Order: sequence, then structure tokens, then C-alpha cells
Amino acid sequence: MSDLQLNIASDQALGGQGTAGDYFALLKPRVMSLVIFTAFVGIVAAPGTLHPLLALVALLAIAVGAGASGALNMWYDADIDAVMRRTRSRPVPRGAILPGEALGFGAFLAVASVIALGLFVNLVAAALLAFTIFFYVVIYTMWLKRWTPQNIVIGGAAGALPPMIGWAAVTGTIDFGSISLFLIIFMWTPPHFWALALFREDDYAKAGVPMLPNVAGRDETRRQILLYTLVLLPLTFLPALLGVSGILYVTGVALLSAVFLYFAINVYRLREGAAADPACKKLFGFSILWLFLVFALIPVERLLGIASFPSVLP
Amino acid sequence: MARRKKRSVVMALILAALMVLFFATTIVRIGGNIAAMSGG
Repeated sequence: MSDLQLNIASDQALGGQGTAGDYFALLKPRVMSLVIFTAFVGIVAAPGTLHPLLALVALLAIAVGAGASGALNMWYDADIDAVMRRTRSRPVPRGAILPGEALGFGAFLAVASVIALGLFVNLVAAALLAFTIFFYVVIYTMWLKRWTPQNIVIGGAAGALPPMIGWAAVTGTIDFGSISLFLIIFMWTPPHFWALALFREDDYAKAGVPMLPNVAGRDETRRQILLYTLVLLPLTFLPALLGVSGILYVTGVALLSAVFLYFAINVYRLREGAAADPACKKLFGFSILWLFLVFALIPVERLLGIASFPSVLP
Repeated sequence: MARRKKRSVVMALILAALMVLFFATTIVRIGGNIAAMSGG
């Protein structure tokens, strides 16, 4: 082996090969965009005002905190990611970034985002962000994901917290209104991920991740999807009861939820043959659009000056 | 080498943008009329 080859080999072993794009991919930008959007809705929905620059810093800190969770997840799950078709081209299993580099990058961003949110916005929002990162990395990634098919039910709490952080950035408190936004994402996560797991079951089984279809069976997963959908849909009206949203939201949510229920019933009904997988894919795809539109209705109401219903709480 | 250079440039730009953002945020937090405040 020539000196040049030796140098290249030792360079790769030492790391430092990742491009800016690889590090950006480590932040799970698609997940981050949903986090930014739901946190933004939390900021808009909260009673009170926040200076636009502080709102921008809050969103940035929440986004970076979410990205840090993604990087730490990719550090810990590199073995699983290397086996699964959907994840094997991620920077760590591909060898572009060393596990230690992902750990350092994620840990630094996690600490920096919490400190920035605490210093520039408020401590309640910072504490919620720290809890979110801890919950996603330690409770979900390190513990639940490899241990129980309920992984995404409980772990879904981490993905549901961003609107509460956004809300707390404005008010400095945790209120029933922000909890109602949390509950919507929390109950949305299981039908969303189980629809994905139904048509990616072999991928999860190969990696040894105990998802509901490969533990309890496909029929039970379909039943659970329908049950969670039936709990989720009434919960979606909670923001209107708690004085967070108005008539446009209620009308829009009623229409969207009818479509969601139609797709969930199709997944339950179409179990065999060529229509079974497409039914799952349709529910998975629509669930993303559903969440986006349900949350978008709140800022649209604010923009159009549509008043929220009075809260049923004293 | 070119890859590392590009990564350093991206990092420098991000740090510069953060510096401006945090400076402006600090001014907002302290209050816009900080320059007019007297020491006593």
C-alpha cells in the first residue's frame, strides 16, 4: 500500500469526511420542517404576542433542538439504519460521518439550542425543549424502539411537544389550549406510523424493530389503526372547545376527518389482494396532509380575523 | 480538500448569521433605547 493510500485510509478512520450536506441530512430536515410548522402554529395560537425576532429565534432553537434529536438518533440507530432500505443511505451507515462525529454534533446542538431558547425566550420553553430531546433520544430511541411495539405510541409524545414549546415561548406557561394541540399529534402518530409499518413490515422485521405488524399481526394493526383514528377525530375538536380556534377550523376539521376516517376504514376492510397495500399507502400519505391542513387552519383563521369560540373552561 | 473548504465556508457563514441574529435579539430583549440610557 502506498503512502498516499495509507494517508487516505487513516484520514477516513479519523473522520472529517462529511460534507455540509451530510451534516444537514443528519438533522432529518423533513421531520424538522414539520416540527417548525407545528411550533409556529403553537406560537400563533397562543394568547399574547411575541416580538417577531424572538419568535424567529424560538423557531430556530426548536428546529435545531429537533435536528439535534435526529442526529443523536442516527448515532444510536446506525446499526438498524444500515439494515433498513429506507434508511441505509443515511450519512452514518453510508460511512460519510463517523458515529462519534454524529454524537458530538448532536450533543453540541442539543445543549446550544436549549441554552439559546432559555436565554433569549424563556425558561419554560427551554425546559420543554430539553425534555423533548431527552424523551426522543433516551426514552424513544434508546429504550422503547427496540423493546416494545408500543414504541411509537409513547415515543410519539416527543413529536407532539413542539406546538407546546411554541405556545410556551409566547406565554411562558403550559395551558389546556397547548395540551389540546399536543394531544392531536400524539393520537395522530400511531395510525400514521402503523400505516407505514404495514407496507414496510419486512424492513422493520429485518432490523429487529418490534413494530406492531410483526409482533401482533397485520389484522390487529389494522384494528388498532381504526381504534386510534376513532379516538383522534373527536380530539381534533378540542382546540375549538378551549378557545383556540373558530368556525373555519371546525368546518375544515370535520371535512378532513371524514376523509381520514374513510381511508382508515379502507385499511381495516381491504386486507387481502392488490388493494391492501395501496390502502395503507393512501392513509399514510393522507395522514401527513391531514395534520398539515388541520394545523394550518389555525393561522389561516388568525390571518382572516375569524374569532375563536369562547373556552368552555372558566 | 475542496469538500473541507466548502464545509468551512458554510460553517463560517452560519456563525456570522447567528452572531448578527443574537446581537439583534439581545438588543430586542434589553430594549431598543439601550444606547440612550444613562449609566447612573
